[in-house]
Amino acid sequence: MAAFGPRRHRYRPLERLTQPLVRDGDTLRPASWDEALDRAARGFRTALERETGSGIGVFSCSKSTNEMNFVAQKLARTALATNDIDSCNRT
Amino acid sequence: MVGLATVFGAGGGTSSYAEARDADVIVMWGSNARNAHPIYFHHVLQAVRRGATLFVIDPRRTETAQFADRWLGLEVGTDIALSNTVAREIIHAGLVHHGFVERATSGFDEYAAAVEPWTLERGSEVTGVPPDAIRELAHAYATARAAQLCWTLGITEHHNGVDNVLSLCNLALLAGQVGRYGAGLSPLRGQNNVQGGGDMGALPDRLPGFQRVDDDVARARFEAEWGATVPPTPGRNLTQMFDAMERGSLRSLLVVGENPAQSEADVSRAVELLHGLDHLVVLDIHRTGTAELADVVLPGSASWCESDGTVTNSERRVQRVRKALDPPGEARDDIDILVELARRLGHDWTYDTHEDIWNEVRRLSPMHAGMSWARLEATGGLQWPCPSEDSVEPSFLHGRLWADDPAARGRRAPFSVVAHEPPAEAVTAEFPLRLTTGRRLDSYNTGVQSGGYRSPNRRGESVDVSPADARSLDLADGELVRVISPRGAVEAPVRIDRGLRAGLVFMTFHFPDEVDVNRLTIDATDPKSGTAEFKAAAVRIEKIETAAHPRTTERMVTS
Repeated sequence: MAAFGPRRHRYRPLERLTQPLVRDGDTLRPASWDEALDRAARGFRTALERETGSGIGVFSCSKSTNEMNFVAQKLARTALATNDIDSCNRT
Repeated sequence: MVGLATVFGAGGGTSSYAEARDADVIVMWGSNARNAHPIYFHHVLQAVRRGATLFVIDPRRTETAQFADRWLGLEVGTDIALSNTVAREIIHAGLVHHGFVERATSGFDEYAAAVEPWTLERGSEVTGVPPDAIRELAHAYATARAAQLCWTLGITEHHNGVDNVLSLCNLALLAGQVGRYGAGLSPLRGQNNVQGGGDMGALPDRLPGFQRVDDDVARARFEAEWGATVPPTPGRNLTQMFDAMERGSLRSLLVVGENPAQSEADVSRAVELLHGLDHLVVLDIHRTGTAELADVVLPGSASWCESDGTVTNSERRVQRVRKALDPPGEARDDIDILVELARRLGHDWTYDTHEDIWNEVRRLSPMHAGMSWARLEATGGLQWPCPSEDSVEPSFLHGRLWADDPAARGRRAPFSVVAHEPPAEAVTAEFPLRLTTGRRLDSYNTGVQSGGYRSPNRRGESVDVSPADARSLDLADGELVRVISPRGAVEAPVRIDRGLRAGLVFMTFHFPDEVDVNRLTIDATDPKSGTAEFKAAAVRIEKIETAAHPRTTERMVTS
């Protein structure tokens, strides 16, 4: 084994996310869809109620479909009341 | 998007892939398409086989350059200097397409005056490209029957990326190489639906169909369709959002299928800012570095096989993707998740199918109006603009510029005066090497998707250095070294690459778990587009003075 052998990429089997996760202190623990969506919505609702401006942003996905991107910007512009939406498609 | 929209009014490539096959000159500027856009490159190779001349302009003698008739190895960040020199040569050689310039453009005189100082000698001095090679490019491009000018992130991932794009548009206007079959400007997009994401309004200033969000009439149509109000002022782009996080004015974030904790330039800062948010929700199919920082992680679908819909490629062609599989476990379709989230925020949307969503797009975006799913199925895909179900527009954009009737020609395409500016970060005595980053054939972006597959071609991360620098720094092929920029340091093995000039080093960003290259890159951004300068940081390389560095004993499992 060479002392300066190239350090190469380690094969990791692809693992899909198969259940919602929510933060519990330092860890992410499995949760039901209801709990995860409620918590996601609650955080955004709290932000929307802040008087100094909601300060919500959305990063959308250039690998996903047109339909998903359309719904993501509709969510941002209506339910999240922000035009702060972007993805890697600007120049 | 910004550059092309400034000149022509539409933020899309002007030509179709198939037109490249019929071009007689193809210029690939800042694009290693052989590796990064292999499908498009097949069209280019067909043209080459038919006798087209291929110019490749790239600081590195890339795999693409190996197929070229001429490789112009310019210094990183001197694209505008080269373009202005080419322009001056076209003007002085009497090769300007005067008919086109007079009828279809504006601002020629100012532009010609601005490029006048860029003699072949001065251009050569700044770019490092021999004068004869610049002259040859200028003459070939201007006299071609049909020339394609293609670019990728080598043009856009600079602090002046939009100016770079404008400088290439100038050349097409000068030579009349746009708005005709086979002649055009082709930005090759970095992901399968970069074009579509922008077309659909996933942009801070544009509603679907590139309609401005601050256009009261356009916005009112969306508000009527949606039964909701839309904020009237343009939002912040991705880079500005990170700045807003730093100032504390952006504190909640929804991230769909992006991995900014590993893909952003100056990534240590990005991680810190994401970590400091009040509320971070990540929708993804994998547990990415960004998901690890989230408050809520929502397992989504792989859009290419687990969801029905459409995507739009670099030639503006909208194509169907079909659902073949259910997402695994409890994972759900991304769209269902977003609709559920909206419902919990008091916005009830009813979509029975994803086709309903598409039909809403067609009602709101005139350039998509003629594209029913049935028609997309029947034709195999249609290019925008497609305003009517009864017609198909030409395969190229801006044919109007050649119309005899001035009314039909419409708005003149403006020349843009753009000045050469070196990269934001100069090389110094402390950081004497220029680091540029990019992709390789077998891997994809931060490796979340490609890193899970074996590939016989994959060789992992390395810092590629020229033979001259390897000699002067006493580096051996495979030796583990430390690469240091003003922002951070990483360790990687050396790979000696004869395609690199002295002073230039290259790394990818495919293996952030092993070598987090974006710790080195600089987040100097383009003021008009917000794109970061991934292509030019200053670094130095240090030897690691130990015979048995613990990590070097790891052996790779793959390839």
